[in-house]
Amino acid sequence: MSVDSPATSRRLRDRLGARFTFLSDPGGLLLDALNIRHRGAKEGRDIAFPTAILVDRRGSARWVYESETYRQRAEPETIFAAIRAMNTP
Amino acid sequence: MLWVSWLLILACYGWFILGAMGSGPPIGHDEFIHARVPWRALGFVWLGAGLGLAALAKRRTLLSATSFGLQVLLVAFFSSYFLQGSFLPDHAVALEVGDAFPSYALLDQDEVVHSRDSNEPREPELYIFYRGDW
Repeated sequence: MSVDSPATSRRLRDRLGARFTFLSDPGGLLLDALNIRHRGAKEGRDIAFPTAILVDRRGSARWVYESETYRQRAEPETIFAAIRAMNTP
Repeated sequence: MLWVSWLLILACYGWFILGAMGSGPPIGHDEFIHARVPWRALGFVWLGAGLGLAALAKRRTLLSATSFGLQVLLVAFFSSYFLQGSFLPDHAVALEVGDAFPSYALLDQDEVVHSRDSNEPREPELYIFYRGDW
């Protein structure tokens, strides 16, 4: 999920060979709903604060990750642990 | 002194390039990926530039001046890369564990509409918000 246009996302997906969905939120509507709009952060454009959210079958957030910098990302092990915790009854 | 200054700066660039490619040796990998600001690497390049300046003060030749000018450019880029975006403004995601994910209707990379109704049951999903391509 980013503020990039679908065309930009398509180029990125093709470059990475990724198979997941790239959603475009150019107006930042979802960013505002989540309070993660970083104003003027990328050459004057608004972008998202780096964030990851795991949502369960009922639509509830089960894990929320906020990064402290643009270089930091949630490690795959951390994400898999959150998924395992969600799937554990 | 001049060659030591270059060694420090080029070693940090090597670490930077290999880390960015994700293919380098794991030396300092944690710092590259996890550190809010990799102060140790920044300290090395700044020390390198300091030694370059000291070399220039000792021998005021065209070579020393050119070398130091180049070092300043390299150190400025290195510093701006790591310091920019490393101090995000205070913010808090307006969503806590247990809250309903907001409804949306957005286009994907193929311009297909994806929508979510907060009350609609469906397979679990992982949303990753990133800064966009650059």
